[in-house]
Amino acid sequence: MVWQRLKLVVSGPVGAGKTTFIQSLCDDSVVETDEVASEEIGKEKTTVAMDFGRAFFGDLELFVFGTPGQERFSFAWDVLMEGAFGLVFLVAGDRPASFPAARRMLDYFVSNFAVPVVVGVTRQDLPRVWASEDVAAYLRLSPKEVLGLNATSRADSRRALLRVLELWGVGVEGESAAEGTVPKAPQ
Amino acid sequence: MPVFGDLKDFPLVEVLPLLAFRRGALHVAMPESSNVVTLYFDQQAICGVRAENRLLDPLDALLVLRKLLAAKQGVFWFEQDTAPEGPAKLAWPVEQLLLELAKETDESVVVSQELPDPATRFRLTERGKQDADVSLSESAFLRQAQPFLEEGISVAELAKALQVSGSFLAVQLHRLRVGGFVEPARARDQKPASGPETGLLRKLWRALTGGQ
Repeated sequence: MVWQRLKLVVSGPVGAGKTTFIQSLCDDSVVETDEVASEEIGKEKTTVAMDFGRAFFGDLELFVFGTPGQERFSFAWDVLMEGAFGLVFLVAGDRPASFPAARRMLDYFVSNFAVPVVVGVTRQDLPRVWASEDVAAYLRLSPKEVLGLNATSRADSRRALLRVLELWGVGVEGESAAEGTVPKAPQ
Repeated sequence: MPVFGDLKDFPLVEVLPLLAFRRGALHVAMPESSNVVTLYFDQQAICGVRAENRLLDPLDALLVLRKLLAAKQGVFWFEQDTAPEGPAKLAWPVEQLLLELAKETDESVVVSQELPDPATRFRLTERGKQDADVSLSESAFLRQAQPFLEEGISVAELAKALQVSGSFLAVQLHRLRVGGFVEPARARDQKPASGPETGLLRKLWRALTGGQ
């Protein structure tokens, strides 16, 4: 079988749920590079290089790369974004302390990569969590670019993926995804 | 769902724009004070400031707001649809107030994680193009930077072009952003992605939606 491939990147600050999101979305075992955190970041382990997983849709293979959340690993962001058709950017809705760092990261991505970006506000199962529309207001994004989700939910991770496609104009009324405008994933 | 946070990493100047179009009360509790300060929002304005169990007069309200702006410790939470008891004493448009607050924001208040990444690209907003309501020092800076910001330029590139330090420029751009004069440029608006893979997105869409 000849595989056709697309590449999606998942990013966001430390503790946003990137690794979990990729595990929910992907069909095969996810390659993790988690190590014990060397500083207090609110969890025991953290991703130091990248996460990687694959999801299969017939002869279409989706490569999903997760960036490390700490800014000192930002040199990896550009490399991982190469050839991606979209970015899912996660922020933990119960941790507003991480929002300024998230906005700093997001601004970098949005201003340097010409692909749709969907922001997922995670931990929506918790009682005290920011709503997606409030996070959209803070990040100054349109509400359609931000959605609330639980990173553990396969349905939610697929919903985020669908939203990326919608921002390309696919599947929406008067579909207008331009032919030949999707970045080619590495073979 | 609540809006809440800690002023340590989420300063008031960032909270106000979120609430500009809401009706309700923002409560702020600071550790050095036993009282909770409450700002009431209605019709895109702050219509009241409550502290020490009373609605403050404009002068007292302004002093309290300045104190809140400088606060680096304290917690806040928003209550939807809560109105002040008694007649509103203020009608300060949030947008105008933000401009004032942005002018007063000094470097000591801005924490590094709020400042943009050197590679983040900025451009002028419509307000920035009009150059209205900017303070004198920012106006001078904005005029100098305007030709570069028309098309969008990174913090590092602009610092080089204007021959100023990157940290100084980052603070200037942060202030202008809070005031609504500049915003991160969207790469997607400026240079559409290109590549040969057509139809794949539709294929993925069909697979995800069961062929709808």
